[in-house]
Amino acid sequence: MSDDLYGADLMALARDGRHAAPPATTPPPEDLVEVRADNPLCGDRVLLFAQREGQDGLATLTHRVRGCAVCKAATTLVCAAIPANRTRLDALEAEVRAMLDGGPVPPTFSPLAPAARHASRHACVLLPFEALRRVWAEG
Amino acid sequence: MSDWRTWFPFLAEPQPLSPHYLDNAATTQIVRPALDALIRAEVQLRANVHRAVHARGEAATQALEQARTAIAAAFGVVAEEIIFTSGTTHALNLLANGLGAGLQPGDQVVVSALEHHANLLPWQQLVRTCGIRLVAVPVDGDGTLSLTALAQAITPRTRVVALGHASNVTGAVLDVAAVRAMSAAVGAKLVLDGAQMARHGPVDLMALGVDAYACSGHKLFGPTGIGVLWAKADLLATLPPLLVGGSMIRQVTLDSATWADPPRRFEAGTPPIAAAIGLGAALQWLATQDHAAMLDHEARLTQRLLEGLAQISAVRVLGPGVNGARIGVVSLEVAGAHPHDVCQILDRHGVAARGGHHCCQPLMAALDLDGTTRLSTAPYTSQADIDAALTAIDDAVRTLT
Repeated sequence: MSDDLYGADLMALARDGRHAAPPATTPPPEDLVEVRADNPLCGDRVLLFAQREGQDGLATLTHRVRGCAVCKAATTLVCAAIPANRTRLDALEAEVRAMLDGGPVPPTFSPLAPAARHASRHACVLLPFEALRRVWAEG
Repeated sequence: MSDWRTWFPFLAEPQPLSPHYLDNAATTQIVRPALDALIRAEVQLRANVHRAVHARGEAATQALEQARTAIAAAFGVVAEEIIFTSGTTHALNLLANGLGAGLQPGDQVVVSALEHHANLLPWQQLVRTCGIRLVAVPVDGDGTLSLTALAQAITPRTRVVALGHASNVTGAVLDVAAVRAMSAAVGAKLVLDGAQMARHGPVDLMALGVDAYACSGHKLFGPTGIGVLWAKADLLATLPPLLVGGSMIRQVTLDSATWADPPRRFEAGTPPIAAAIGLGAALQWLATQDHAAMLDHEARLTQRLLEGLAQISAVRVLGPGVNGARIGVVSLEVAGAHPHDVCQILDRHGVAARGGHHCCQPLMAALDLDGTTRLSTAPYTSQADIDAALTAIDDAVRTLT
């Protein structure tokens, strides 16, 4: 049986549009990096739009998600964090993976903590991290 | 309701996991005779088949071939035309690979946008390997295949028409007679993916008039890892094997080999012996059941489900309505909610459903959907299962939208 994965905080994050990419009505900045990550099993798709800053940082990070509430909420949190550099991204992803394995819950990711009990949903939480890694790989 | 539930071991005791099992389009539960046969084969008959001279090996061989005969009888064909595979996917790959060897660049294979990937990708591969032209017939806005569009797609260059007998997404049943007339008019082979339809029998392959049919044991109340390809003997005789190795040869030298006759030509290596024996037992059991009563039971449950869903305003059901040609596979969209989230809420209510693209990504793209939530019935499904699903979907709508 499921526990309460769909708490109010998770649903609010899933609906949070603050970091949503604006409609593509104008030509994007030349330095905008667009990456995409797909989960072929469930069909979740995360698009990230980033502008790099310095060697390892990001000036802006927005998203467009076609996926479940868990994936949308995780992407919102990742965009809100805007990891200052790749080292911080690696650390944050490690913390979230540890949470999914039953370890401590990073405070900002607490709405996603119930996902730890649902192995089939771990990929939904991790998909924005996969996309974010591609930002640097593409850059 | 009949006593079908008593035949299924999973209902013999309270179920801590998913007591309302409505994911039968993915996998049905195993029926007692199949489980018993599977266990007997693994315990009492465990030996390799076809070449052993010892008693255990001969008994295993006999049981395997009896299963082949039972499966053939269930479909109204002869045993030599039944090929054991790992499932429908393997069967369709075997067939497409074999048929592809006889196709010329520019020949056409016609499929539809409704197809499961198992009945799309093997043909898609032939575009690359054989230069064929793959024609995919589109569907309309609710996922219905248009026979008019199909008729337009079939041309004198069409060599194969490969379609699902029943959709694993919408539950729509193909009008085989109409399609057979179209394919026969141009001399094309008619191949049916019977994964969903095979258990909604009896499926009389001679009466259907098709050239080849594929299905899976785990959707037929049998074991997993076993499936069947049936094709007409004269067609099988022309096909090369997909896999080569032990058991499927006539003569081997260091430089060359010749192939055994069907079905052995297509069963390289040790077959899934116990699973095949279990499938034979499942189909023997199915043949003893009152098919009309079984289908009526599922139809009434499907009607209850469709009528209940119609009362939930955020829900849109794809495919045929209550009176359409359909099986108990119902796909729905909850406006504003992803199917995985819907299924997670259903799981909270003990309802096992499936969410996603159902291995039909082109269909989802055509319908501009991320996926659907799919509920599918079986003879052991009860009204309580349907009512639990409706309650759970109502909860999902309130929670997610």
